[in-house]
Amino acid sequence: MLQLLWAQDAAQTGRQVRDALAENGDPLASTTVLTVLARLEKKGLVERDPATKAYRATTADPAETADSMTEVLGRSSDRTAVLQRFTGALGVEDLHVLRAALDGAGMGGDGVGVDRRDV
Amino acid sequence: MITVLALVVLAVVVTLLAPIILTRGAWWLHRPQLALRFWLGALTIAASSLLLSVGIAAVIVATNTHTHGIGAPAAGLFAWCGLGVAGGVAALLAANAEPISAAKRRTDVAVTILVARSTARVEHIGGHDVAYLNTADPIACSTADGRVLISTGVENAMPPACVRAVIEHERAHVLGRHDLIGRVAALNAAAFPRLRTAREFRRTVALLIELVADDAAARVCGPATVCNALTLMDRIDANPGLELRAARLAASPVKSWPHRRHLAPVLRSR
Repeated sequence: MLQLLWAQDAAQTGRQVRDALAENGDPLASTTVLTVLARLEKKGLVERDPATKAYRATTADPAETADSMTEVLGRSSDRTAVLQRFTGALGVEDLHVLRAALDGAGMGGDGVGVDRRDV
Repeated sequence: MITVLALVVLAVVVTLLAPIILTRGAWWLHRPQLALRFWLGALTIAASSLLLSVGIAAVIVATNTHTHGIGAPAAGLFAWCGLGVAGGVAALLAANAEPISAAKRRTDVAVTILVARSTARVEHIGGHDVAYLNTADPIACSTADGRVLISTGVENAMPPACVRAVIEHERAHVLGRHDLIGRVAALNAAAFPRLRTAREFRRTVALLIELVADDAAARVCGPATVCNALTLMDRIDANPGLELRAARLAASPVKSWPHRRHLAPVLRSR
């Protein structure tokens, strides 16, 4: 819904949003669309014109949005497993176990560097 | 009644022995996928044995199979206690599932906004959307709904082959439903905070799924490329885990059979 509103220059009524979603293969009831829009408005992600009752995505600097959302993603690096990060979510104890196993198997991690021949 | 007791003993034995046997030595460094399957198998056996034992005891009580001796009162007591414990565990699971669900909702919203506002381009690789984000922050992750996010900060820090290795690592998480396994482990640990096996399961799963994804990426892109990707990622987002994972791959590269490597085609959509 947010992607749709960001793509539009003009404000969209609930019905217009519903129709656009249906065209994109995502048919939703009008009440559902209005409920979601109301929630987005409460979160400050969309603005509602009281006169026309049309919704418009709040204008935010993309870089600023990226920064704030990156912060949210950063907080998701806890171990609730909602996001899989390449850096992993290994705790101190995990690292200790991994280091001990590598040392025990004679596979210690000193001196690992980038092999430019392979990349 | 003997069946009920046998199932309880099986559950207890598996629960007690799993952390002792499965964490012994360093075999899991070389076979993380096998180790993960053993852990999941142990959890399934223990949980299903306990549930089955309570179910059988309940059937014994309901059908009055034991009409003499201590069988009937013992089965009744066990069935009622079992049902009480099952109810308590279900309540604990429900209470602990809520914060995880809330965290998942928050992350989904953040990802949606980030993708909508900052996506430079999207590629389709092997049925998964890979969104490249216009931000210098080192973002390389996958979401529960199967999207892979890579930031320009990561793209600029490594050659394309290494970026592809990062993507294959994330695709392995998605294909292996590692998010689901992680959440089961987190819930299990929350429901049984004093049980060593539950704590070990959660800790080990977090580690094993990373090693499994590294191996999957190594089979497609080559172990050295994944090793390099881990090392280069460590330079822009320092994390001791990256160095140790690179050391594992460097010392014990997975068999990748170069002639069998199969890179899924990249389709660009914008």
